[in-house]
Amino acid sequence: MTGKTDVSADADLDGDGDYTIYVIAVDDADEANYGSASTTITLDSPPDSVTGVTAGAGEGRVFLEWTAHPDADIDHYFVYYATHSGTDAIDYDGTDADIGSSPADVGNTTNVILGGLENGVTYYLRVTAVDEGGTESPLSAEVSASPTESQGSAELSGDTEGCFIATAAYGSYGHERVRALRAFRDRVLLASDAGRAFVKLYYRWSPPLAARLAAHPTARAAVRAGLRPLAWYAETVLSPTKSAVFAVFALGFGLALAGAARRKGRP
Amino acid sequence: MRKLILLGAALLLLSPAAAPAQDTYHLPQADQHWRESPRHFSAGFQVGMIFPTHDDVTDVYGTKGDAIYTLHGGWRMVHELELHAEGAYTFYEGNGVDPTGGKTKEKYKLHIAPAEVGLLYRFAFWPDQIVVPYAAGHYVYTYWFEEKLDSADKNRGLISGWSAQGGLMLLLDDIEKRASGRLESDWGVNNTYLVYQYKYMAVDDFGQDQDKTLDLSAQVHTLGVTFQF
Repeated sequence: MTGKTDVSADADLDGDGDYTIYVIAVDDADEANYGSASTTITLDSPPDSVTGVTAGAGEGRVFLEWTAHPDADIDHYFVYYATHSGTDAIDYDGTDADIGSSPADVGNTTNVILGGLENGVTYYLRVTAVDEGGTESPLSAEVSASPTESQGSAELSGDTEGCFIATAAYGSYGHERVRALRAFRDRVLLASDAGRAFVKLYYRWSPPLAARLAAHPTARAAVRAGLRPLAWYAETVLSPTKSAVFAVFALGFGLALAGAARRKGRP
Repeated sequence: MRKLILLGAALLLLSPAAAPAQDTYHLPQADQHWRESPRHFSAGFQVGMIFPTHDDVTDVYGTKGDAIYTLHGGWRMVHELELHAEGAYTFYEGNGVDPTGGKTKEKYKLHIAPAEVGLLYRFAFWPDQIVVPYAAGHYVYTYWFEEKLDSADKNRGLISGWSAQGGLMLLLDDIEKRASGRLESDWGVNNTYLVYQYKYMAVDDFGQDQDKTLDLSAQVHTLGVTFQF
């Protein structure tokens, strides 16, 4: 090419890697100066989309799996999720899952469990792969799953130990408030030594109390009334939205009390 | 003279062979119809497959069999009637069920340990009978423990029921006489049997509280060894 200082050309390059480009000047006598400028560029194509993505429902969680990416230089994967379907990465704005807000870096693995989700809500998910150069693949095909209550044989048959007193008061292991109290037991109480000690004590003494309670409707009604604030507290602690609303109200109430106390103290 | 001496020595050496076999034991009444060392007890172990039969279990764990391990022992009371006891262990693994009856991804494991006691009768009519059929009936008391994997959810309980079983015992003593002789002289094991057994277990608290009782009824096929001593 003559008189040009920047050109482009297509070339069938053999995969990613370093390529050196030489520019050789040739004069009118077709004499070439081979000691010309050269530069090296690194070609890093984005990985192909992740394939084989499947999602399965659990209780308050989604089980996500995919096929390991064939590229050897994959560093980690991103999981995109939302409560609505989408086409672009920006559409996936989920924040509920315990793996973090979308997109969540799940490391170099081929399966992940997204916990802390809401039963009955459909979640839409996609996965991408990121190579060591930081280049991200296109989004995988979208999959969806709805977390749902899960039962084993004991729960199917009704032969459960569960929350003895709450179950006796509400009459059903599957009652919404009994489920909230069970979830509070699993995710809050059992996470600490003091909580585990309390649960152990509860399971030791509650079965005979529950047996007596089941036979007395008046006592059951009284226990339900007493459990209502406890079940409400359990639901609030487990729900980020409700916790935030409760915190705002608690802060406002506290400030109002402080203001009233200061006014009373003035002479 | 020499011939007479040799004949006398031969008669002396060979005479024990002509004498009838004598038991040196005082046989219990039950054993006097055949001349063997007394058999008071039996013990053995079996391994096989258990197939649950009730929806409570099959909806979560399916109908395919799982391995079961059994130890058993008995005390021979009269003739071939034995007071018999068994202990076993197995576990099932499967995925949970959602309210619509579909499967979830939650994995469960159900451990079962039945303990049984009852009567067993062996149809042995003559000494060293090669194939001995038997039948038994037991009271069953089962401990079960179910856990949801990756979760703190656990349930456990005790359920009673009954079982009926029958099997075939193949006497191994004639197949390997040297080993069986050594077992008897060193350990007092009179007979060794290879055993196949089929059992039906109805473990549902005898039908009480159907809505609140886990039904662990199952069919069991096992193969094992029984020693009588």
